[in-house]
Amino acid sequence: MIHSLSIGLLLAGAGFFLAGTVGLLRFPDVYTRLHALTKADNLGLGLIVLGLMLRAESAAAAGKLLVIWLLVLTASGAASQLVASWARARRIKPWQG
Amino acid sequence: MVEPPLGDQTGGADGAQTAGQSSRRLSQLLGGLGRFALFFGIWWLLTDARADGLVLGALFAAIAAALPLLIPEPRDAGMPRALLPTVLRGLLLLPFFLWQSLYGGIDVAARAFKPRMPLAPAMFDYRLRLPPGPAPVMLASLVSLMPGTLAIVSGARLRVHVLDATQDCTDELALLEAQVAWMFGVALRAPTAPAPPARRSGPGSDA
Repeated sequence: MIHSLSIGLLLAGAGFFLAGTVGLLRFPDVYTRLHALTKADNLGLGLIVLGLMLRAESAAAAGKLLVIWLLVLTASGAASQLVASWARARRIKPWQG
Repeated sequence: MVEPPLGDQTGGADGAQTAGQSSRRLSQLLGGLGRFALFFGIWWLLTDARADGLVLGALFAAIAAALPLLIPEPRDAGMPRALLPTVLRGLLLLPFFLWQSLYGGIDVAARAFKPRMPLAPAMFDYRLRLPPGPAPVMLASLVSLMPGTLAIVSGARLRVHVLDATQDCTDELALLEAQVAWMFGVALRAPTAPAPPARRSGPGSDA
């Protein structure tokens, strides 16, 4: 039961990573691409971490996975802000259809 | 975690000096204990809870937790802002954040996969009511995880890029801002930036 739940979470996580990459390739400008990367990839990583936590051997290992997710969340939030404000400073206009 | 003492309340009125002193001591003690718990918890996780390292970890966690007490505080720093209540309140809000994050991920994934890619992006300024400090940074990180919004902090303004300008998201932003204010224990104030009308234009004339 836990095993199949874990597999489901891992597959869903991989699906969101795929969606993030598809968005990165298809979306028209830097801002919309950041949307795809920050949201879809963080959710994908969160689901994968959750799936792996179900298989973790100890509470400490599960906690370590959780800390990894929180650190990536913080780092990608900061990185997306930096990229977006760099694009603003370069006066890159948002794509408007 | 962040806890710069950027409080804008000036502590130490003339009469209540001793009371201020002792309550400052108490909050320093609580802050030190909170930092110790955090650092020791991280040590415990990183060493996979190995028993033979716990004493060493406790020693260094205690040293690291005590270090900020040795650094003299800048004048007018006010009460050091407690880390622990912020973390606890953040945990209470976690289900909401997780739910919004899930919804945001599904939303953007659906847009990416749909053949016609329904996008109507726009950028506008949101006038912050949060005081400067760690709270606006937290707000910006959260806004970027919410459905359809991406945040860029610039001073007293929060620039928001939205994927779908046909949906108004200012109410959601205001709600989120109020939650972040509660989390950090700070009061919202009237926006100070000169009021730009809520535009949905591009970069245009602003700096």
